[in-house]
Amino acid sequence: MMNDFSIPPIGLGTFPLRGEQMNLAVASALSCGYRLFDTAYGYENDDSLGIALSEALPAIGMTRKDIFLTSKIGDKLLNGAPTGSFFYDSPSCLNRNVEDVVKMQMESTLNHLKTDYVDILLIHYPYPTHKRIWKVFEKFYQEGMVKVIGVSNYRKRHLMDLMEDCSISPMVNQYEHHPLNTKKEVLEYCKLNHIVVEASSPLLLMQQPITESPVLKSLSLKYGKSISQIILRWNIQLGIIPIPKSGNPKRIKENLSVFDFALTDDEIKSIDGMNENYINLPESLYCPGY
Amino acid sequence: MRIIALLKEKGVTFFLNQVFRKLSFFREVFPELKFCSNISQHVNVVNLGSTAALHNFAYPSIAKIRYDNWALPVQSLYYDWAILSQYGSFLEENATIVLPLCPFDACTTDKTSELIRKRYNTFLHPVIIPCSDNLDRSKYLRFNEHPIFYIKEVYGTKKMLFKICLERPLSWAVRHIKGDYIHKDAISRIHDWKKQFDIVDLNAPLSNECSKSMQFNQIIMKKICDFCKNHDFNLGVVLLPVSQSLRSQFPSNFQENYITPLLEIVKNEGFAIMDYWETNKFAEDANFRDAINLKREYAEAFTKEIITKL
Repeated sequence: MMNDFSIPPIGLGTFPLRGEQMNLAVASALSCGYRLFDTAYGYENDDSLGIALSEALPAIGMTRKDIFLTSKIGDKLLNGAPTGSFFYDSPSCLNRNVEDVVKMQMESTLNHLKTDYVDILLIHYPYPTHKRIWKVFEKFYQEGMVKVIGVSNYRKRHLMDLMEDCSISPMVNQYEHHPLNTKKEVLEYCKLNHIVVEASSPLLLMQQPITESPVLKSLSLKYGKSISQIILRWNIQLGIIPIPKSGNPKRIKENLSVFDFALTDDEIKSIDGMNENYINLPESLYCPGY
Repeated sequence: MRIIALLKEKGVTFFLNQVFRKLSFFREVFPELKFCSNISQHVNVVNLGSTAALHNFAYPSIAKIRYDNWALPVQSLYYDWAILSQYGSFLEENATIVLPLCPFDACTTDKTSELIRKRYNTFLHPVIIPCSDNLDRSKYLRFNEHPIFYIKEVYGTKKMLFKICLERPLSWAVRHIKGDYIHKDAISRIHDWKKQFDIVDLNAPLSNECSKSMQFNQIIMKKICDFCKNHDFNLGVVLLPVSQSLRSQFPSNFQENYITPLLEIVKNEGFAIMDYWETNKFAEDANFRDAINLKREYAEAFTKEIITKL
């Protein structure tokens, strides 16, 4: 990590958990050892996460400082569809002052999460105004409101564009990464530039190509681990921090039990070989021009 | 009992909508629905464009090549760019994008009729739709999910729906009744275009309004070229074939005034241009089902030739 800030090797994705589901997931995750929790302004569930943490942390004798919170600054959603309310030079924008919007979202995030800092703050998509958003991030970082600043859903071209003008380089890039989409070019570029990679949708919702994969099935059999655990271990050995989402306490626990075995180099390569550039959430739907 | 009745009703509603969305007739009347559901990923070749492109691109089955026709009836260059910009992630690396140009593409702008603008709200991001309204948008998005129940709300009255549904069968019937349909259709189209773009004399230089539209479309064309360069897509701009009857209605300097300025942008950016306007290939009236739309077999041959060239 560029600023010597170490991030837990695995995190809990929280979208679309809310209310009781969130309470159960957070309490289970904390009790079995998760320390990294991921949300976003656009998920509209950071208030639920804040409530769940404020109840679960004291119950197991922990404080805010014992955990890592990730949030993302981004567009507003309406029934899951992007609204274009922020960060575009468009008439649909509610407020075209990028700096004000970032500050407003940050304030809302801190209030909802019941904290005075977030550990990792990301730009959710490479919006047309991402350079202006980044300038505010740099300020947050310098003022200590954020420990790590980074981006999400960035390809190499977006990173290069942002890094042309920034004073502080992005420290994290979170993007869709699973056996069917390994994005080698971005991964290599991130490694070269000391950018930590986080995997969103690492288990691809356990869709059929994953559950029926002969490669994953045979590794699952060999190690006596579930397919999910094989995929999460593959991420970790690639130096990637997976952020699997689950609301099921049994699976939450299972997803963390990946540190008692190791895949061989050939096995890593065989999972890499499953790549077919399959995208679960096509980025351009959320960020036109992507 | 009420819960069971509600579940049954929901189940029937869901079933009806699923069936309705898959009917080819429904998809022809509402071609935008292809963007709302089941759009393919990893597309190797895609064409954009308006009505003529929708009918003139008929992809043959080619092993290992995935193709899609993203043209929509009555579409401007601006919305070609908007669709490309929003659905770019569905394209395979190094995909080929075919951008067809029609005679008056330079005169169109992003301003569309209310009915067409509503259509774009069902599948485009609001930031790329001029004058989009998020309050209205949820209504349009509901149309994607339950088209059968929201047609009226989105597309207006039942009368409008019947008009849309009857347009195709009626035009088909007219074509088959009149012997010299292609020639008459050519004259009629020229008349309509002149009226639409307020053009008195096709020989004269562009009007102020058309010049403004030309400048706007040159910017859009540059955006399309830049997008393709940034994403390593292979762009090919095609001047679509038109029937001899229609071609003969245009003066000799038409291309120079109305089309060349757009092509200059493409040329400067180093992308391919294929001109079926000047060549006689495919241009015989007998190859067309109306003045601008090729018959199915010729559309297939034309498409195959384009794919091979690119």
